Amino acid sequence: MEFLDFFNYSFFNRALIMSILGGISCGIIGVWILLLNIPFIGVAMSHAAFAGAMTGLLLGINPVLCGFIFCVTSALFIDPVAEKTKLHNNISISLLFSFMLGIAFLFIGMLKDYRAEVLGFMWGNILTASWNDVILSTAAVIILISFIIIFHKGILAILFNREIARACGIPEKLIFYVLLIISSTVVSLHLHSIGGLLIYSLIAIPSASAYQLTYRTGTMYVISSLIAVISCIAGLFISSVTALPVGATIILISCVLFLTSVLFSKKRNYEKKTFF
Amino acid sequence: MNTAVSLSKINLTTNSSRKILTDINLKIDCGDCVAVIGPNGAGKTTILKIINGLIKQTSGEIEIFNEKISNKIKNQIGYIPQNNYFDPFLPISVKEVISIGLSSKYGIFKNFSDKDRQIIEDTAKNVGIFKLLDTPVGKLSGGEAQKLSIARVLVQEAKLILMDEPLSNLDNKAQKDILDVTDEIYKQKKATILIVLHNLSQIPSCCNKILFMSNGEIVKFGKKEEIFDNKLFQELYNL
Repeated sequence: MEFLDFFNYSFFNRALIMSILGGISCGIIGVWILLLNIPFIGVAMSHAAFAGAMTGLLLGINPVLCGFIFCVTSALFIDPVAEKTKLHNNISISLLFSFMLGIAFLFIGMLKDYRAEVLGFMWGNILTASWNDVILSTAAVIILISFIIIFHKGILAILFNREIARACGIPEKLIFYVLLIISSTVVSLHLHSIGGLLIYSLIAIPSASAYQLTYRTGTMYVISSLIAVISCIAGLFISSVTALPVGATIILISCVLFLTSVLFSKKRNYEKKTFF
Repeated sequence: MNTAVSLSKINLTTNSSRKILTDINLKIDCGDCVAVIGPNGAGKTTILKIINGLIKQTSGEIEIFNEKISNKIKNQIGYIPQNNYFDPFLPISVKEVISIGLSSKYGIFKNFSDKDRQIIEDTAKNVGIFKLLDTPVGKLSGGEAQKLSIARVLVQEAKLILMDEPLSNLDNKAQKDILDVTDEIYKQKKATILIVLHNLSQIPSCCNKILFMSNGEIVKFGKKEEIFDNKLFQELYNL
């Protein structure tokens, strides 16, 4: 098959659009998660969405909707659990992660006739994205970018220091929770296309790469999204040509881009010149 | 004289019933500059965090400028925390951090005007960090980071400034710089200042009152000269 022939297939074009939309949204929420220093939240949210999807399959409810409810609920529990138990956020997130993983695997064991669906939610397959997925993903990107434009001063304040933001009267809790809800929405919307296990990588790796390259938050959003989009599109093409699994290829490409960004990091070169 | 801070019967206990603050009654007048001193574990930082609402007291009443604590009141409180460590790679500039003070003052939805940008530049000049405006915050020294925090609360036009050990981990020159800036803003802005300190030699000259705390209680609160005569105070600080 010729390279350009792929574009004759509507499933491939949908996958391409989903790569761009998923890349943009995962790239942006990755920046938040990295700068808020809650990297484990991406894992917890993706596993909560996965556990929700398994619950949906078991109860015969829409698995994506169920995944969304689980994801949002667990995201909203993180701060109160940390506050009540006097534990660091990352500890309460890991507790939630373990709980969700337990639920997911319990229900997988109980699901006898849904092997393909279970694997679909676990590993994802961007080539199976429907036009409905594309519409929802577009809406998520629009909401995400609108939120950044409208709330950018508040977001900047909480990314700098949540305690200072709270102390000087900025509605820190509101912004933090809206940010978590939007992140949960993005995770659950891409559960079927990218997969519950792989979406965390697409959130964490591009933002970590962008972090190596810029001292400006706005530029970090752009670079992170760009790296995520490039990883998705390159992964899609390579897997289409070589018949390798799409999700795994996307993640491995994003890892290569991360290593490249470390190699060409201006920040690291600056530190070396200054201190060594 | 108007009251800036009023604490009435404030108690704070942990879940394990350990008392952090016991029966704190305190009235600070507008325009006072109060040095909060005492040994480690006296409750100095906790009292600042109770005043700005970061910690909720177990019992008792707090009023700031005769109002209960709300986001509206918090906009008038400038807080300079103890720990000024920033991730060296943090993609946020000095200018952006100072602008957080303006977001607190105007709310997060107002677009900054040229006048606002001029205020940021003028304030940075006043505290001596103008040349660092575009520098990422992670590259600042300890003294520069403290000046940045002061610039942030100055653009906020906070009527009450809470400074939590602003001189810790600073060399002598940086300590003197911060004390000079504190004296200067007190003279210019006439704000009420509470400054937590460890060392008596660090008390800025603008301080007119001292709050001496020990074991979560107020041992003495009053004019600087009166406190220096207190026996426990003299023993603790070898006066």
